[in-house]
Amino acid sequence: MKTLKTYAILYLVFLYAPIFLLPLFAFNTSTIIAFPLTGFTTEWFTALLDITEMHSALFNSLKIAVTSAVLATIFGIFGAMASTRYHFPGQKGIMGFIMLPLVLPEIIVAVSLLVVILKLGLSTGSWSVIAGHTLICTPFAIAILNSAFAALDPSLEEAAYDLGETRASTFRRVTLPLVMPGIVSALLISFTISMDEFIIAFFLTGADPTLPVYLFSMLRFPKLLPAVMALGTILVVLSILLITIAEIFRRRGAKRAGLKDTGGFL
Amino acid sequence: MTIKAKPERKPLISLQNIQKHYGEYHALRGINLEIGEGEFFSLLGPSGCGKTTLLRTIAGFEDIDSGSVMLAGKDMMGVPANKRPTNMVFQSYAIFPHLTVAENVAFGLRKSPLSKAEKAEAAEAALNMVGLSGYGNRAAHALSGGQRQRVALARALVLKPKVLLLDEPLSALDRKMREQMQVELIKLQREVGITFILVTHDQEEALVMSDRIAVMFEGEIAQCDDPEVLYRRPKTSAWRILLA
Repeated sequence: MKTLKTYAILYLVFLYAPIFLLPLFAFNTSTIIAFPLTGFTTEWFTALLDITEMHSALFNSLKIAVTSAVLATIFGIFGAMASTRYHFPGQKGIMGFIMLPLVLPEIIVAVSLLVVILKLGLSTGSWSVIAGHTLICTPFAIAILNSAFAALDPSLEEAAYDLGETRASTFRRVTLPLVMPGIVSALLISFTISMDEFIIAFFLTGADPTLPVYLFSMLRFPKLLPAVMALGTILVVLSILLITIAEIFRRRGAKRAGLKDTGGFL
Repeated sequence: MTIKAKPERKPLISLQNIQKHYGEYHALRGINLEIGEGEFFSLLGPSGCGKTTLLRTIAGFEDIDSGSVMLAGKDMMGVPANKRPTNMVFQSYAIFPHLTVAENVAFGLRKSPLSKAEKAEAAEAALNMVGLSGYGNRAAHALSGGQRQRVALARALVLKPKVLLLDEPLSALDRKMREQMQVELIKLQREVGITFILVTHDQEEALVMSDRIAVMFEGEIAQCDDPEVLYRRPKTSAWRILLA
C-alpha cells in the first residue's frame, strides 16, 4: 500500500512539477533557466507586449482553434446523431473510418494533407491548418457527443414531435438544450487540441505560424526564453480558468436536466 | 371482416387491413377495426403481439406497408405525427427534464393563436384536471413517477386531441399508485369525453378500465368485445393468450 502511495505521488510530481517551474522562471530576473533564482521581476511579461510577431502567432492560433472547434463540433453533432439515431448499411465501417484519425499518427495526416494540397496546386495557410485540425478534432467531438446523444431518451424527441413540433424545432427546443453540456465539452476539448497541436500546424502553416510553431522557432534565441516562460504561465492560468468555467457550466446543465453526474470529461 | 364500433357510438377511427413488416417479421397481419367517439378502448396482449406497433401506427410514428387509417373521416395516409389530432402518453412519460412543469404542459401550445396569459391559464386548468394545481413552477426532473404521469396526461390533454393514446402508462408505477391511477384515468376520460386508446399487457387493468377490449396475438386481433363478454364468454384463443 505504501509503495503504491509513493508511486502515485511521484507520478503526479513528475507530471505537474514542470508546469510549476514555468511561473517560477517567468518571474526570475536571470535570462538563464537555472537554479538558484536570482530575484523577482515582471520584466518578461512587459517584454511580451513588445514582441509583435508573438501576438500575431497567438491571434492566428486563436482564430484557427476557434474555427476548428466550431467545425469539429458541428460535424461531431452530425456524426453522433448518425451513429446513435439511425441504422443504415455499412454504419459500423463508416463510423470506424470517421473515428480513425483518433489513432492515426499525426505525422501521416500532416504529410498526406501537405502532398494533396501541393499536388492540387494550392498554397498552405491558416485554412489548411484548420482543415487538418478539424479532421483530428472531429473524432473527439463525436466520442463526447455520442455519449450525450445515447443518454437522451428517444421518446423525448417523439413526444415533442407528437406535440406538434417539426423535426427542426424538436431539435432546437428539446435535443439541443439536453445535449448542450456535451456540446460545450466538445467545443472545449477541440479548442484545446487545436491550440497546442504542433505537427500538423508545422507542416501546413503558411506564412503565419501558429503559437506552438512560433515558440519552437524562438527556442534558437536564448534571450527570448524567459518571455516564452511568461507566455506559458499566462496560457496555463487561462486554460485552468477555461476548464473550470466549462466544468461549472456542465455540472449546472446536468443538474438542471436531472441527469446523473457521471464525472464529466475531467 | 371489420370489427365495427358499437351502434350507439359514432365511429372515430377506422383501420382497414393494416399490414406491417419489420424486415422478415410480420408485426401486423391485417388489422380491421373501428373505434368509436368517446370510447375507452384497450389493446391487450403479451409483449411482441403488435399492440404498441398498432398504437404507434395510429399516432403516425410507424409507416405501414398497406391498409388505411381513417381518423374523423380523414385519411391519415401521409399525415405525419405532428399533424394528427392524436396525442400520446409515453411509457417513460417523456417529460422534458430541462423545463418546468408548466412549460412542459404548455409545450404543444407554442403555435396556438392563444395569448400568453390564455396559454398559462389553459396549462393551469390542465394541471388542475390531473390534480396537480400549484405545481406549475416546479422543476420537472424533481417529480415522482405518479406526478410525471399526471404531467404527461396534462401535456397531451391541453391540446384537446380527438384521441389520447396511452402506451402502457401504468407499468412503471407501484401497485398502490397503479390502482389509484386506474380510477383517476377512468374519471378523467368521462370528464373530457375524449377517445382513449390504452395499450396494456395487464388483463385486470384492461377489464377494469375499458369500454371495449381487443385481445391481440401475433399481429392479429384474437377477440374484441366488452369486458363482461370477454370475461364470461371468451373465445378459447383469446383466453389462452391471457392466461399465458
